[in-house]
Amino acid sequence: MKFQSRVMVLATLFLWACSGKVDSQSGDQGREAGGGEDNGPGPGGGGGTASVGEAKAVGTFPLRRLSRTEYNNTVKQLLGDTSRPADSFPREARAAGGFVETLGASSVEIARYREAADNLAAGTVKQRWSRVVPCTTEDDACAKTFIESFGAHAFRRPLSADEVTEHLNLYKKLRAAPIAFDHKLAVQTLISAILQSPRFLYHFEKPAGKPKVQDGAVVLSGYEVASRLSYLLWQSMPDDELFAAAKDDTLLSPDELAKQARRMLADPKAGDGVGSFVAQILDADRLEDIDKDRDVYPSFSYNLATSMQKETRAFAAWAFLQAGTLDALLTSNTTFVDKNLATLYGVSDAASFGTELKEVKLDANTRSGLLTQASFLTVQAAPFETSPIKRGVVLLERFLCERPPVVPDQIPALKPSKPNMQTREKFEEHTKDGACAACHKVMDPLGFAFESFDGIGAYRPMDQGRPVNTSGSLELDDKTVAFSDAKSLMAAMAASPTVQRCMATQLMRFGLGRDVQDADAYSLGNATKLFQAKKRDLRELLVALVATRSFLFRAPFEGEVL
Amino acid sequence: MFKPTAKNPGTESRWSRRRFLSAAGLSGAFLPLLGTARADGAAPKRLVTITWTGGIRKGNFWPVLGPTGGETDWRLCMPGEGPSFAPFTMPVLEPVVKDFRKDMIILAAMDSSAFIEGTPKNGTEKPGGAGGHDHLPCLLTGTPMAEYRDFFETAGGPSIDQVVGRAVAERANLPFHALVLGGRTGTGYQATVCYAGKGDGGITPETNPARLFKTLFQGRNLGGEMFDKNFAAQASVLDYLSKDLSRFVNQFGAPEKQKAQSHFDAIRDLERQFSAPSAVSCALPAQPAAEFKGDAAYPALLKAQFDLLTVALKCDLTRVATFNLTGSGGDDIHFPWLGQEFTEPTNDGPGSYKTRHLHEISHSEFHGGAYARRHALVARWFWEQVAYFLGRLRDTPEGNGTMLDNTVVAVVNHMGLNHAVRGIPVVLFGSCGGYFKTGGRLIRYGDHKLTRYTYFWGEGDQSDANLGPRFNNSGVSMNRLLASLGNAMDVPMATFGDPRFGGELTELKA
Repeated sequence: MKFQSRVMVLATLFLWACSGKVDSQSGDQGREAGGGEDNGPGPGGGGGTASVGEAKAVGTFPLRRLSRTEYNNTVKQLLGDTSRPADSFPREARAAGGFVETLGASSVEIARYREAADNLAAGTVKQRWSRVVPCTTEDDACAKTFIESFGAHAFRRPLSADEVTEHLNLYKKLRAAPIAFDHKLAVQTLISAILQSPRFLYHFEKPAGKPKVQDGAVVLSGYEVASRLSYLLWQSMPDDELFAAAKDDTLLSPDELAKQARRMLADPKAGDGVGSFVAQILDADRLEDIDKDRDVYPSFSYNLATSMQKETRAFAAWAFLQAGTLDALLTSNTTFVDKNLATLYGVSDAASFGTELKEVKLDANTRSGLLTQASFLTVQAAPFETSPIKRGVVLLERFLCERPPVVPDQIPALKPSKPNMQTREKFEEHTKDGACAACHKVMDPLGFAFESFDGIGAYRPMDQGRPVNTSGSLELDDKTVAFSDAKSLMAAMAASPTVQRCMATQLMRFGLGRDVQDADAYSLGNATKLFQAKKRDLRELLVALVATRSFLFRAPFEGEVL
Repeated sequence: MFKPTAKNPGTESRWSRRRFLSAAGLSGAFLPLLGTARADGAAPKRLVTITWTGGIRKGNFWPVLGPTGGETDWRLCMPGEGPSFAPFTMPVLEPVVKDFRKDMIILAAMDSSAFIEGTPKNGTEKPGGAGGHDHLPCLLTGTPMAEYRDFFETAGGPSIDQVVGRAVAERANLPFHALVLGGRTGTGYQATVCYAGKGDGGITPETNPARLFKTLFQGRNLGGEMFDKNFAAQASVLDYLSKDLSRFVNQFGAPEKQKAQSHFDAIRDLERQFSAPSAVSCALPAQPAAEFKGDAAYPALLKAQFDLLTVALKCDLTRVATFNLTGSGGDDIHFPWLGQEFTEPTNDGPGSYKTRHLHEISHSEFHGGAYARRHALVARWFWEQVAYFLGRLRDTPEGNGTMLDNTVVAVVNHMGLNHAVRGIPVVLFGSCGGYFKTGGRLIRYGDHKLTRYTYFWGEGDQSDANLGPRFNNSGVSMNRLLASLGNAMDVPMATFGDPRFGGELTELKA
């Protein structure tokens, strides 16, 4: 397996000119595909006809740190600390599909890790000592017991004998002159050190020694799979039951894996997993600091934006874990609102709502699933108007798994808009112009479907005093699909094999912490088939994904001795 | 044990490395080899870069040439003086021209060549386009991007502050190779102009003065038993992490190694901060407020950062610093202190304002008249902040002159006119120990044809609404200035970044 450099891949990307339609055969070119010179149809896009892939191919395992969300959830489970220290960490970059990507840590990340570790260690020793220290003597023996148990949780795998010694030596150094810390302070310092270790901070639970190899691929150990599973489904570390299954690799048997996955999906923590997945796809975390022109949207407030984020997570948990289908996610009129959102959505009796979210059914004629809810409609809009382009691009990239066209070199000046032009009319200027038309004819119509929602997600049948036009068409699964509004577009999307495969692709990106590669085609194809056979059940898709080769194997690292 | 002993800031007053190591119980084998004394007797040279976003507006930045056309014969354009296409003239540079004209060199203007010509398919010469937001990984690296995608770009090489900072810190045994400070980092767009190296997504600026204070000064001139223990314990933890990271890094091949390496390097930087000598004769600055909350606190935040930076430079904790007053978007900065038009309230309660943030203001070409005026008011305010910092440097005697004489402060906007990546305004202050010939020079480059109103740019097609090819007015490559800055700091370089874009601007030299 060759590692293809990003720069090289970019070169491919730019070759993908605007074809004027969403082509199910070309969507993957330019993605960060692993090795291979072939730029044919890749694993992510395409309809039911995509390549079946090679059964024994295997993808890469890029090194990454815990995301901010994962860090917060992990220290909550590890230490019982709910202070969300990672909220003060710098934001992650965003990778293909919209998912967070941790690049190399720079000095500020390191400083934040230090600060968080010191605070977490101090808080733990002060308030939750017995939770992490399983013995009462103040000596080396107790320190060793602590190191073995806490280390195995923090590093998400048992420590080797050398590692235990390494930590015990640090403890002894802290106890001895000239530092001469007492037992508690030495343990506190040790906790802080462990929380700053790359063994805690990185998704890397590889046990010491040579890994198991099969057909040229590295077989992930029970502990590595346990963490993959728990960060995919919970965005957090494994619990004791999962650790127990990891211990003797029973977790690696297909039955046990499915059993654990189903158990985890039934746990309330699964809401954190799918909530984070959906929030990332929608860029919903940008609601933390988005602002709107208050002349245009006087009802917008930061409180409203916070409500939108909560709604997205609650709806994601419901759609994935209760209703459990892609159809529910994309077409249901069920959602969860507080008073702010009830007012925005025009729910009757809005005044009776409080600050807690309540399940409601919105008007089925206007609201149809996730993309007709406020988070998407607000984030993917300009401060002072809607943005059919932004909305269209997110649909294209994250629900159809097509790469949006690249902005060309020369952009001619837009004609000044005339007074009283509707947003759609202004944007249709793009599709008239020869140079712009090729790309915007693909992107904009998808966005036009949402023109009946303003820049903060309120229903607006009129723009500039005239009814909005929400109709359009797109090329989907090699057919031309006409839609009259967001509702009919969403219905077509939920039924589309391309969208179904894209959902599998997105979950795979999320679960592997990397883009899909050519080597994933076989795994992705199988998971998608099962998803379709099980009536688009999202839980079944997750269970299928964690049993794939992509999830359980990795390519060797460059230069890795096997 | 770590008690500071002497009073001279030069050499003896610093903690000795041996003392530190023995107290920490460390072998010293993992520490970088450091000299024990300051090698150079002269006052230290320094490089400070100050940067913010939003670009310039026609009629309020570039000076008007005088009759002789000489490089010092210019004046600022006064209110009401502008031509019809730029009616909102305002001398935004006045706050610095008033007191620092003799210390200035105005460079008209710089091009982000590594972005324009080097980065594949950058293509963002577009009117009002995102080029000026996107090109930060090129601006001070002089290197085409490693990766260019929306809202997320990585640099093709290190920025000048990192290269110069490391060389100088190594030579002079300084705790911090380069400080990267911030005011607000913004949202979405790049937060910084500083990059560690190829593939780096940016060195996140420290935006919290209390944290900066802690990083810079905590423990440095405090005595006492408890402190020493904590200091030694921290050093032991760093020793643990350093060995840990070293093992961690070495198990990977190239792509993974690169990511882990930057983590390792950051830990090594921390070790340097703990092990390099520390100037104990400096008076500790006042502890800044724990938080600077809300828009109204932004001026106080910048002032607190400038104050800490001044002391850090004076104490010789570092000689290189970059202050990102804003991120590349500026969506998170409002200006309620600038008057009623910036303060129309929203329903978020007291202290929140309708969207008049820097980004929106800098897009005045979309919003029209009132925004152009706001842009000028905001620009002028930023230059007042620069003047404050320059005043702090000038008021600190050092050697035969002042700290300002020994420093070069490079003030660089992220953008030229209307988000352009050409025609970026740069003003240098201070001669960097006599390296630069200052004196209020206006140095003109490229095809900025000179007429009386040249620096409004773009005659014949002047309306704000109709943007066109005048974005192609080009200046001189930023790379050449970066090479000049390196040489001024005694880090010799023929070129910096991509060598295609040329070497030092010799006309800047004294």
